Amino acid sequence: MDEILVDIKNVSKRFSTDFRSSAKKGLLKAVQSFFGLNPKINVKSSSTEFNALRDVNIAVRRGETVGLIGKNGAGKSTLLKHISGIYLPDTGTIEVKGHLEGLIELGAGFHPLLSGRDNIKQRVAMLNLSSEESKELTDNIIEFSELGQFIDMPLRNYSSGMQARLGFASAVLTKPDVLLVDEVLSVGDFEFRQKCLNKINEIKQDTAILFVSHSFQTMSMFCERGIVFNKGNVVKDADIVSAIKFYMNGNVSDSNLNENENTFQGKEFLNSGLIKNYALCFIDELGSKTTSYNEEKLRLSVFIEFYEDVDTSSFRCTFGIPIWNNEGVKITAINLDKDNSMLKIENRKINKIIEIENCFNSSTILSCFALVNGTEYLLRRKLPPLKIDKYHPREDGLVQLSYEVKNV
Amino acid sequence: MLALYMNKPLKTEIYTSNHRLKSSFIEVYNFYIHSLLKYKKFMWANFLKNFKASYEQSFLRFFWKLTLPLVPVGVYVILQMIGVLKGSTNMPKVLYVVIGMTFWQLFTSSLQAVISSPIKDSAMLKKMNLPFILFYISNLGEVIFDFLIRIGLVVILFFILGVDFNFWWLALPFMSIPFIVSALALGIFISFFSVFFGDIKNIVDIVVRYGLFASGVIFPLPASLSFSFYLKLNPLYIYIENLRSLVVFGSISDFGPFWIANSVVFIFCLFVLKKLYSIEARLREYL
Repeated sequence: MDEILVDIKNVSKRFSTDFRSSAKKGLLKAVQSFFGLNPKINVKSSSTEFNALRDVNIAVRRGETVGLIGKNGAGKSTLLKHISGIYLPDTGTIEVKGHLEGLIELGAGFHPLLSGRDNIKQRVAMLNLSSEESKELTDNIIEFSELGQFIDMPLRNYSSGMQARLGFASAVLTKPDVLLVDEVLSVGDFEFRQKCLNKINEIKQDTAILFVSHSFQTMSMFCERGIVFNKGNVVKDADIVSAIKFYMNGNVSDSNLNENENTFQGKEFLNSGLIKNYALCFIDELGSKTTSYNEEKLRLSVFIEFYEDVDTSSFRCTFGIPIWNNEGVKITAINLDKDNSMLKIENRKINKIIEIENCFNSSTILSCFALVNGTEYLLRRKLPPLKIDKYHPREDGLVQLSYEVKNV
Repeated sequence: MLALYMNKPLKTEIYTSNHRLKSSFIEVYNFYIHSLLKYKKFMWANFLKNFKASYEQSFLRFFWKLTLPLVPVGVYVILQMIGVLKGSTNMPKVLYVVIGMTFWQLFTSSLQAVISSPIKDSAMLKKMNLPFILFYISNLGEVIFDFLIRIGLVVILFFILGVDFNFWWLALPFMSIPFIVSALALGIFISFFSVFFGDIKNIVDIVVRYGLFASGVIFPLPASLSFSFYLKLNPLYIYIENLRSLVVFGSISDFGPFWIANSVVFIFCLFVLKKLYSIEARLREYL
């Protein structure tokens, strides 16, 4: 079981965002290959290029299931494409031993005009089995896919779920030595997904599996090892729990995080004619500023001071705190307005601590504070990112709701 | 179950920046033969896809499939019959033009189909680590279908004009192979560049249109021209002249140049396939 089936050594790959520069570099490499020269020679980098992979070193053994973690564009899928031979590295070596099956994209490896059955036969034919073995394997794949009468329909008429069924059944039942799974299962229905995951469990002892998913629950169930990617670099290679925790705690792509904040957190605003001073910060139990929580409640300290000449007696102030995860998914929003209760202003000052139940799963959360007088914005400010640091292996989704089980 | 193949020794694939650059000729051609055998169903399906797609939104599918291949031939037949095109031929002028156009179209359509293949099939090529040759060859299917329609017209003309069929008609499929092989080799070679520069396809289209007049397709090359000697070195001229004379008279007029051209074409094809083997991974990245 110690046999290394995927051995990636010092692999780097650069892509260009500019079409012209990409074509120029591509042509140069093609011409160099044409004349039998190693394409890395004399290929200069340009400012439009970025590292899709940078000096990646990974060895995956038979029986090992590795989860690849990272944001979109971090290099996970690019790595899988390198392992399956679709891309070649600029530098370094990738050694793949045995029969490889890749569930990299829906419909990959299948012809849209062939029926499901013919596509399976085509796939099985590539394994060089005896006719008896081929027939047995084809029948098993058809049975596992549960496509029934649709198996004889052209693939182009399949739904994405049906394509996933066919792809998974064909990939897993051919007993690959190396299996690459890139988020393809997310389109299948629940029962089939469970069936697939059980099958992965069955074959994992004899297979080296590289698994890309944004479902950390699935990953923590199946993978022993996690590799975190950030901008083409491997930034963490550890047991799966540590790798997920490392990623969830916002240790990757800080620059991307800031870019995202600007898009989904909306614009900032200050009515400088009314507000003289303000301070917004998260604090811990002792009242010190913090950006990391493992406590039961989050505490936001709000201090707002109006100018002396502002008559606040007629103000009907409310506040709102929308909260997102670090990928821009809105988790919830706290709106005082909805409770129809006004925020009390004493001596032209608001000085409050807002306590919020910490029901969030381990992640980095982003939020805003907005102060509104009637329908008029007085202040809208982004709050610093908060790291929720209370990872539990059974946590699922964005929040953890408290519950009670009662005897009837 | 399936114990046999599970116990086979593990095949190792190594990917580096110089992947396949040092492969031997035997390794390369072995790869092509195995790929073509393995993926024959895939190629057939790809041919059907292209074939159906070209007439998918048409009511008169079958009509267009039969008539459109004859249109380019018909235009030049009319020009020849009304005397616009000069030059005396040793066979009925209609037959001269139809046979010439049939072989000319076989070459040029094959060439254009092969050149446009990587771009046309880029959606599949980008997703799968499949050899490019499968797509090049499956794209030739429609061209061969059109060729057979035109051959049908030649047969009809033979009957109408009372020309006898000779033994060489049986060898026609084999004699057509050099056209297809030369178009395949040249097309693959040009497609190396057309992947990066779309202009190349347009340049080829222009050369093909004017090349018609330098290849003895619709009228004999005038012997009086000072450069006609060089025009006769054109391999397409050699092919078309010899195949026309073979089909009508049962003999080849310039036996030596015909076989020299054949040999050059096959050597060029082997060379291009070897290069394709080492270059295709690079092309795939930029599709």
